[in-house]
Amino acid sequence: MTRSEPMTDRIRRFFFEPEIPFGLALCRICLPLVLMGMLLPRWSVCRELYSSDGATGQLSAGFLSYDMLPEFSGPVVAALYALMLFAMVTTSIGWCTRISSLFACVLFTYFCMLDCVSTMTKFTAMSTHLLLLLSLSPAGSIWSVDACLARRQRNDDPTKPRFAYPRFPAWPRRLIQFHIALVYFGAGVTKIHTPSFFTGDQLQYWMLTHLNYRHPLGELLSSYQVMLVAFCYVTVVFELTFVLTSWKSAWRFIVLPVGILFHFMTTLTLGLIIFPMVCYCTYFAFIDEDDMQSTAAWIRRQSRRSAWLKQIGANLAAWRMSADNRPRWKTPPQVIFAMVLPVIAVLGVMIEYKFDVYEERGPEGRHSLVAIDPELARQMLAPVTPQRDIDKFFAVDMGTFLVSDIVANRRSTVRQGENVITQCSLIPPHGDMNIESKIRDSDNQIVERMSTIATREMVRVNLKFTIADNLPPGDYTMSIETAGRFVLKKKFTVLPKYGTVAAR
Amino acid sequence: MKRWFSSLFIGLYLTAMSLGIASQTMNFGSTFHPVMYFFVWDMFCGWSSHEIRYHVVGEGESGTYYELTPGPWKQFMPYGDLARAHYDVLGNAQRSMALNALKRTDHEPMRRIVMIEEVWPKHYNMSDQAWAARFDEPKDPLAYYWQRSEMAEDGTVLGHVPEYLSYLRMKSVSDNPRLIDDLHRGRDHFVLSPYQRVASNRSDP
Repeated sequence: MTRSEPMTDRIRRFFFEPEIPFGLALCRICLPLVLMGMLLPRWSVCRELYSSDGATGQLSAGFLSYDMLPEFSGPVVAALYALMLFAMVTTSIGWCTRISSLFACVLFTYFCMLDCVSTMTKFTAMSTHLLLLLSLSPAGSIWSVDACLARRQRNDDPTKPRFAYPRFPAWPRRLIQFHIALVYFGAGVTKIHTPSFFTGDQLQYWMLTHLNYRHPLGELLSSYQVMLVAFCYVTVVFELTFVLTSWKSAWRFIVLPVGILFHFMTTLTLGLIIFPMVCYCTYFAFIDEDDMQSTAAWIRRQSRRSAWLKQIGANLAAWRMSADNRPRWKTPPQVIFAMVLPVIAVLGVMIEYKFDVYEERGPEGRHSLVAIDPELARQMLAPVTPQRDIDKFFAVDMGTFLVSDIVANRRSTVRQGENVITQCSLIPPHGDMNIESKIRDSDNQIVERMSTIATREMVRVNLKFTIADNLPPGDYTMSIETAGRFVLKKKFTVLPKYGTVAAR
Repeated sequence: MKRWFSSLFIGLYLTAMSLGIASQTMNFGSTFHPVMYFFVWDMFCGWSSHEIRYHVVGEGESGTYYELTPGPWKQFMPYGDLARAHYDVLGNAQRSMALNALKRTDHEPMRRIVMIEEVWPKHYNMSDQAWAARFDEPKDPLAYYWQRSEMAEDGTVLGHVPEYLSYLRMKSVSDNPRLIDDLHRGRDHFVLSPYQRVASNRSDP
């Protein structure tokens, strides 16, 4: 690129420069496999989730336009679902890739929109974009069944590669890059719209949520809220700047590994599994020809050093040669593909029938409804219990300094003369409250008392006091009360002041 | 021609994505059509301070209560170890899930169907070990049960109230006597719109 190059030429080159679609091929191979991770468990219940014989939850219901999509009967859905699974497999292996990925895209979008409860999420929305872009791309032109079946350009010049990979305009890969960058940007804007995100509260609640897969690290980190606040800022900066820094520059080698780490941490702390993997698939779009050549060169260097890697390389080359010399199919692959589709549909109906989702065809016939324990039913149907005071308090922490309005050094021992902050973290929504803190000594006598008002929008209240020099060292209890009612207590120990004889 | 179509698609796609971002940023039209779900990326749209589970209970004519979600067949757990009904935050599919359970099982006639929220503050989700490290109080979780809506056996909605957290939010506002007093002050008795013909329950000074 030269500085004098006109902008239109630069844009044209950006989108239409021919390249070998390595990144797209990797995305094509991996994305359907990732999606199979969520689609296969839903196969056995497709009648319940997506058919008129079950209980759908159309996405359109949330937008106040009911029944936007037609709902088919169980067998039709079973057939369509099997065809979608087949299309995912054929997309991955690259057999009739364009038709397969388009087919997969349409059916996947349809099924997602039928079940906004347990199928439609933002990563499935992203996946529909990716499948659409893959269907318009030459992703099946390399490393695919289509590529094996197609006639290859042989090159007998020993100084050049044996096979000349085909080249295509780069725009589908560019659009996938734009897609993930704009998704991050949108996610960053959402966080900016959510002020409580930057207090770390929402991230803390998310880490304590038991809706996703298990995430024990999240529970552990949720207790370190200052760190969460730092993560929140890092996340927003990463998401907003990705669109500027992820292109081919030195920044790319920082931003992309940070992205990989970011998504890996969402697995450990939030219990997300498929979402990060879908994002990783989009990262393949950042791999271009130069990256692939340097990676291939590195692999070749490594394989020369290792005998067994060398052997594997030789075997692969031999297999590729034999595959290339094999006679071509007489029947066009598209015809075979079309012939397989009805077989898959019929098989899908038969297999789904065997699943018997409602367990109606078992030896005992239809199920009867399960009665609930009468005591539990009484609890459930009684008027709601008035909210306890303790359920308005998330925690009470003591420390000596604040970072981002959060007690940064939780302590249970303080010294005479220290300024202590007692922080009450409140659980929204709560009403306006008077919060009183009473410090009692080991004889249960009140030695200090403070009170403050927590208005309904506050999520944190700080009560500051100084441990007076005349407060004798020993064990104390801080009790938190509201409207004269005891809520909870915090035990702490007062130590002698630094520099005194007793402190030694 | 191929290049022309490619350019058109690139333009359309980037325009659609940009409009989605703009709509979300300016908070304008982001929910006007279901297709906006595919262009608005609000992944972190707010996580509640409370954990919520959703139950649908049927009351038989004998007075016995039955669990309608999940149905008595093998449960499907989409993202871990929770049944599908617990992910229906908006409550759009609970009705169809309950009716499906009634359709697919043998049961006595139902007097009513009740949708219930089970709510508890999320800090009770901490493990006992993590709780002990931070709190001096023993862990004493309590779940609040909130009847969100009631239906007849055929699915006709008989009553519906906002969710428990909205109730708490409204309660925190309505606990203000001065505000309630202001609310009734100066309210007209007669308004042309039939929806607003609500007489004041107190006489104006």
